[in-house]
Amino acid sequence: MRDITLGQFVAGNSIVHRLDPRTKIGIMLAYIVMIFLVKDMWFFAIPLAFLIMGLLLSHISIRYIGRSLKPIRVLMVFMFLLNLIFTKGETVLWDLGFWQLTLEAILRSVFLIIRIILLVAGASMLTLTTSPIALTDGIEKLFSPLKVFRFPAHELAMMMTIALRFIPTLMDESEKIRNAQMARGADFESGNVFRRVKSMIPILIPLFVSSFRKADELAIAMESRCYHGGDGRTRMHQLRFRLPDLFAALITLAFLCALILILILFK
Amino acid sequence: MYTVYLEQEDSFLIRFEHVTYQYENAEAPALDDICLTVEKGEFLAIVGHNGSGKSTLAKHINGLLLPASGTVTVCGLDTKIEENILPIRQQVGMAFQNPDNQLVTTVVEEDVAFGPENLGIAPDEIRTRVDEALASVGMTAFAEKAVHHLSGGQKQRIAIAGILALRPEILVLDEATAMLDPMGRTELLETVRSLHDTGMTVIMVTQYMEETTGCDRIVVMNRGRIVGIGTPQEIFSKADLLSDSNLVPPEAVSIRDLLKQRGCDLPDDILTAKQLAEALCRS
Repeated sequence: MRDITLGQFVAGNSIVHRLDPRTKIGIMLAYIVMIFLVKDMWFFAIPLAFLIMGLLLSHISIRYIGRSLKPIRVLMVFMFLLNLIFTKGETVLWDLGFWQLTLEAILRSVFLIIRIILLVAGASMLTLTTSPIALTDGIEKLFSPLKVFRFPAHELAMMMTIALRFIPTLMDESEKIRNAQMARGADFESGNVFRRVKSMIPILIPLFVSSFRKADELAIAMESRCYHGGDGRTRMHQLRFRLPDLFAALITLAFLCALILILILFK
Repeated sequence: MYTVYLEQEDSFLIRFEHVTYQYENAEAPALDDICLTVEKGEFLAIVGHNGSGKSTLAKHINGLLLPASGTVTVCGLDTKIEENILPIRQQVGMAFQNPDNQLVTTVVEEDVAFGPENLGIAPDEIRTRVDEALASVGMTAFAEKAVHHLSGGQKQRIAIAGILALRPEILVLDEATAMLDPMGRTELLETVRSLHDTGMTVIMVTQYMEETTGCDRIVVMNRGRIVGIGTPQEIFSKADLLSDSNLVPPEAVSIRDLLKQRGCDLPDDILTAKQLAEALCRS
C-alpha cells in the first residue's frame, strides 16, 4: 500500500513481536527519553545501538525502516537547510559576506536529522512489530485506569482499530475515484501547488461521502454481531506480562542508565 | 453467554405476523402486512427486484428494524422487547452486501473473534470458536492475514466465519453475493450450502434467481408484499408472477421451457444448466 508503513504491521513471530504491547510502548517512551537526553551527536551511538538490537531481534528488514522515513524526507531536507542557514557559529568554513557557513551549523543540522531519523525509526519499529489491534489493546489497557474520570478508553481504542482497518480500504477507494475523475477529464498533474490542491476537491468530496456510507454500514454490521459498547466485553488475545517482558524492560533500563552515566561522566 | 430456550409450542424459528414497516419520508410502506414462518433447518430464498422490501424484511429478523405494527418472533423471542435484542442477534447471524464494510479489524482471526468478544465469552472458548468457524468456511490458512489482502469472496467467507463464531441458529445473507465476481459467488454459495447441510437455517436475500435453485422455498416479494411462496420448481413455472415482479427465471429454466414448446420432452424438475445438459444427453 504505497508509502504508508507507519501503522502497517509486518507479521512475524520474533521475540520483539511477542512482547506485550504495553512493554513495547514503555520501551518506546524510554527510547524517546534517551534520544532527547543526548545533546552531543556522538552519544546517539547508544540509542542507535538499542535500535539496531531491536531491529536484529525482530527480524524486520531495514528496508521497512527506510520506507517509513521516505514520507518525511522533504521535512528533513527543509529542517536541514533551515538549521544550516540560521544556526550561529564561530568556525567559519565559507564566507559569502551576507552569510557564513559554519562548522557548528553543519553539526547542528546533522544532529537534528539524526534525531528525527532515530525518532521515526523507533516509532515505526513499534508499529512494524505490533499488530494494530495489539497496539490499541495496549493503549486501551494503559488508559483504562482513567475510566474513573470518564475517559473513553474503550471507545478510543475501537476508533483506532476501525481507522487502521479502513486506511487501506479508503486508499483503494481514493485511487478508484481519482481514476474515475481522470476518465472524466480531471487534471491532477499540471498547474501550481494551489491549483493542484484545489484539484483534489473532486477526490475528497466523494471520498468523504462514501466514508459516511461505509461508517453507516459498518455500524449496522457491528450491531448485528452483538456489539454494545465496552461493557462486559472480553478479548481473545489477553495481554499478559511474561518473562521476556521483564528482560526487555531490564535491558532498556540498562541502556537508559548507561546513557545517563556516560552523559554525566563526559560532561 | 446467552442461551435461548425454544418455546415448546412453536416449531417455527422465525414468525412474522402481519408486519408492516415504513421508512421515514417514504410514500409507500416498505413492508405491507407480511406473514411468514421459517422452520428450523430450512433453506429459504427471498427474491425481489430493487425496492421490493426484501432487505427490509431481512433487517427485521435480527431487530435492526422494528415493525411499525405486527410482531416478529425469533426463537420464541419478540424483537420489540429491548432485552431480547442481544440474544436474538446471537441467534441470527447476518452477512451484508459490501464485503469491505462489515469487517471490523485488520487481522482475519481478530475479526472473527469480534462477535464472541462482544458476548463476553472466555478467551479460551473464543479461540476454539474462531478456529472452528475458520475451518468451516475453509479459511484456516488465512487466520493471521490482513483482511485487505483478501479477495471479495474470501472477505465474505470471513464475514460468515465471524457470524458462525457466535454459534447462531440462523444465517441471513442480505444480498451477500451481489458485489462478488462469479468465482467469489460460487465460493460463497458452496460455503453456505455446506453450512446448510450441517443443519443451519439459511435465509438468502438475492436478486439472482440462479442462486435460488437449491433452496427449499422461495419467497417472491414485490412492493413490500409477499406475492408468491413455493419450491423453486413451483415458482419458476409461474412466468406471470416473475415478470410482474421484474424477475427473470434462471437461464436453464427458460431454455427448458422453450425446448418444451418446440416439442422436446423434458421433466419439470430441471432447474440448473447441469441438470438440463444431463436430461438432453439422455433423451
